[in-house]
Amino acid sequence: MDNNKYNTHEVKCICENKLRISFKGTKELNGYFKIDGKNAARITVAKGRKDIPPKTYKSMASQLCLDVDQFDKMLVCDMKPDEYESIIRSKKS
Amino acid sequence: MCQARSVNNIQFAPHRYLEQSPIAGATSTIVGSIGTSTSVGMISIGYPSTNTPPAVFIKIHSLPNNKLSMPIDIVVEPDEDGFFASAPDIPTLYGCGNTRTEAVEMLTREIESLYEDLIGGDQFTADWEDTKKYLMSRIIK
Repeated sequence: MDNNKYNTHEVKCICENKLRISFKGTKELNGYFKIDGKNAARITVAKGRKDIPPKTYKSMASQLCLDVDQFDKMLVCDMKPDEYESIIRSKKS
Repeated sequence: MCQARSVNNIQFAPHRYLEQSPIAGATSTIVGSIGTSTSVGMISIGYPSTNTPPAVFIKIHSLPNNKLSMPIDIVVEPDEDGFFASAPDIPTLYGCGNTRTEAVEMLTREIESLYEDLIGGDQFTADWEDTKKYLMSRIIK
């Protein structure tokens, strides 16, 4: 689990850049990963540059329908958007 | 602390660490430790252990801007230096914070936010339907 490598701001930026998620919200930031124009996965990221404790990190992964290893991989930039989309499609079908 | 108490009409056996303290919109709180637990109805009961900070099991009876027809169960657990709140019936949401109160308040905002999204104009994939039905059955507009 790579939760110590990233803060909330970094996770938010990666989600924006790699998963094309747009965040909104005042106290927390929420964003949806869309498939075919429909909201498929919803992730919540705390505002600011906060450390991410293990349960929160695991829950963020779960929100994106990923396990922790897949989430690690996505954050470290091994996972491409198409690969993530294929995971989501397989879990949503 | 180890004497039996009744919380929400549930009677607990002696020698279990139970405590009531109000958190956010919650009206009942059971404090115990995770790791060694059992279940009575919808509520898990924790037992004391040596070093593990207690998990808290509560029922939320209202949200920041909406009332609930039935309470929503929430579990608040330690998460490194802070706390992590989750609702077993809404597994896609979480709350976190430096205190239990912050974690619960974030989760209640999240519940409300998701509800607003689901009943709004956006389109969702079919697997959100159960969550939508659950929230619509609990939240009173």
